[in-house]
Amino acid sequence: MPAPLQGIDRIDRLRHPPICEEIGPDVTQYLPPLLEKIQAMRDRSIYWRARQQFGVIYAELARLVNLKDGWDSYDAVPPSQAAIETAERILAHLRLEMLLPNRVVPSAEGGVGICFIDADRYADIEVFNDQEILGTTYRGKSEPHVWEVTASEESIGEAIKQIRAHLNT
Amino acid sequence: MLAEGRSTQPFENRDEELYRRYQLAHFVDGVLSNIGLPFPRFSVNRSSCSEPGDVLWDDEEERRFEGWGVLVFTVGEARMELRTGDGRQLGFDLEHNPLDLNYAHSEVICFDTTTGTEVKNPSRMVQKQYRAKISQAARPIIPAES
Repeated sequence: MPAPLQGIDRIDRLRHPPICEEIGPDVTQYLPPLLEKIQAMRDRSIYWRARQQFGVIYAELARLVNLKDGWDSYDAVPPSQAAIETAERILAHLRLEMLLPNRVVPSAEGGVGICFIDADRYADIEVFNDQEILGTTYRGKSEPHVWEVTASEESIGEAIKQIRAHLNT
Repeated sequence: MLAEGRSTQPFENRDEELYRRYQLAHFVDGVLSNIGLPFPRFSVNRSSCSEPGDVLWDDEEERRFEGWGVLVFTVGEARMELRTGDGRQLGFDLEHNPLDLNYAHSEVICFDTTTGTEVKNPSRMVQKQYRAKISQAARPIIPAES
């Protein structure tokens, strides 16, 4: 909002270099639409969208901390702190790789599952409370492919690569 | 349905349905995730002596599992054989295991096909294979609401 010119002394108007200038109607007319365009671009930005969606996924993970024994109405134990931390590390990898999971869910075996769905293609990374990690992919009712993942950066990176390839095939 | 001292019944019909509770969280974009299924020895109710909605009733607490849904798969879908990494062949079958307050209660069990003995703790890889296959077969018969 430009300062009203009526409040500026005549001497100030004559100063050189000038300390104020009148904002013409062009600027006031075009600035709001320009700001709206910038906001629209931000809304369309893959980066910002991914950032927001990962925020939702992290919130899902944070909620798992509150689960109690028998949360599945049978005998499931809640995810351990170690499993949640490992899942967090995997999510950080996924964020770097811009591969967004559909959901993070508690495992009925005790642990955390990170799930990916694209039409009939399914994949997950399941982190168990004892720190064992498995990757799984399948399409529809096809034979599931299950493999062991370790907590190393390389192994997590390789699992993400496999899942991306499966979802994009 | 109360057991009332009745004996167990074998699973003779491959088309007999099996029911289990599930949460909406494990239904991801229309696909049932195997992450919500445990193994080994997970509980189901058999259809020959129960209705799908019966698994939504907590017999001991005498309350309903509000918002939960019910999955269904058949005996034929639950029965399978899987090979382990060390070359053993494991079989999966059902055992009718009535509870005092739930005659329909049954359990999925795993056994060594060579010796016939129960394998209580098969490798995670095999468990995961089995859970994935059951999740592929199961479909909601009563949809979860929350």
